[in-house]
Amino acid sequence: MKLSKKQLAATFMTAILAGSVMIGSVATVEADNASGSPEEQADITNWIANTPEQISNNMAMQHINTNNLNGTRYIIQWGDTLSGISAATGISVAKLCYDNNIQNANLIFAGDVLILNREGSVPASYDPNVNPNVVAQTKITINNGPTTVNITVQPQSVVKNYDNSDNSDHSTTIYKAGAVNSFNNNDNDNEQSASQSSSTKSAKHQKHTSSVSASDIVSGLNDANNNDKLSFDEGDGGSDADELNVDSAAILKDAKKNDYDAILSEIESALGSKAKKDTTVYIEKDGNEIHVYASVNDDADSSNSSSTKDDEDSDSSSSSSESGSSDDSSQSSSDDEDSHSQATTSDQDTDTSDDE
Amino acid sequence: MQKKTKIIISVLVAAMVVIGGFYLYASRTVAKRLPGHVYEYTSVSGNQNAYMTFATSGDQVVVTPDKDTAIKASNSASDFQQAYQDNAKDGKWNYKAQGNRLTLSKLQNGKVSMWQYNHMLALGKKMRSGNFTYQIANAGQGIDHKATKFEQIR
Repeated sequence: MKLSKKQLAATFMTAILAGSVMIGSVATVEADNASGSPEEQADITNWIANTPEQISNNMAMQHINTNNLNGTRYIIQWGDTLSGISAATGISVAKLCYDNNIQNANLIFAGDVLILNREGSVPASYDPNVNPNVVAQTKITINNGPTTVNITVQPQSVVKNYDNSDNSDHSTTIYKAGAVNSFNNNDNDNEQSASQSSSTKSAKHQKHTSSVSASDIVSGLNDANNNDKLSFDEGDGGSDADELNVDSAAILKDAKKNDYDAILSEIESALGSKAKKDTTVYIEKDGNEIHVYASVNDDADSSNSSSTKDDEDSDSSSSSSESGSSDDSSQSSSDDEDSHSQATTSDQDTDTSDDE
Repeated sequence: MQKKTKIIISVLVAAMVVIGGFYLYASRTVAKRLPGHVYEYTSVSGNQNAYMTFATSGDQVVVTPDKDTAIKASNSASDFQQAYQDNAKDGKWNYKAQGNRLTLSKLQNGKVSMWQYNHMLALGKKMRSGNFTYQIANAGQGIDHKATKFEQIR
């Protein structure tokens, strides 16, 4: 069959147009991998912090020139952290928070837009109070299959940190999305509505808790405290302080009831043996959560531990947790982040099938 | 019973024993294969990777998207500790392998997230998980019925 010149030209043009559309759609998908099925969202790779190089690559995929950042919009990807974005762009974490009205670095969300702006400065008094190493969160709870599952095989350090006899009841772990989006520049309609609803909820919740501040709790604890080894202050205590594993909700509830003896008891319990040492306890209020940190001032304590503050932490874990440890406890105990309390003797190794 | 029938039954039984033995072997050796080795994990979508260096002893694991970091961590115990501490700011990772399950946990800001890989089969340098159960702090929990791969690269 012989094609005319017109037919050839039409075929050629169609191929070019179809090709450009396909390339465009592929590029869009590659540039924004922040969406995906629940299976993909739950994948462990999304919860590992990206390296600055990876973030630079993500920005390049979004056609962002990191040498010219003047109000540039970047779609946050899974695994992004503020510290990583800061390293990739050269913009300080404080500037990123300031420009994007981020009150808490735990609240950057995959799929949100982050404004990157090298211009301008941050007021000296601005303190975003952030942990810039937390990976981007999700606004939508990632539930796939049953809404409550049980992890039967758990690392020893987890067993020691939490009473996992019922996995749904981790005092410090919330297995659902619901954090408030603190951005003021979100242009994703669907997520914006989700954000608004959660913001509304948060505002209501804030109303209930606004009467109690960190300073109120510190003041109440100082009044209630009879232990001259313990002192209380506001803040996070800096790098020398370790976060205690306490029930934030219970502390807030007790604070509202002015039951500072109960809070003191909770903190002393979390402190373990540290309560007998010269320790400063720091209280920090982060939205509706209370964070408690402890810094041991006792020199003798630090000289006992061979290396790090982690050893101090394992100091405070009770002997029952030690006795519950098994073959791999020796190494894990030296590096547990928060092994202050809630030691458990439950046998987590019971291998009941729950995975179907 | 005819001789031919006996032979067929014997062959079938032998095949079942071999397959069953292979399955038992492949599903019970996961824990032995991890310490001191580096594995490349391939995500559900197949287009993302993570690298995991398992401690020679203990339950620590360095989990990173950077292959070089993972390889370096496997050089010696001190290199492992260095990498582990360097990555601690992004969360402390631990693991436990038992039977045909492998669980990885991440502890950060006092919150723990866990991924338990179920029905793992190990053969040679490759391991495959039939599905995984997850509990992710401030995100959700559930079961993903998607296969994932682990390949030993060192």
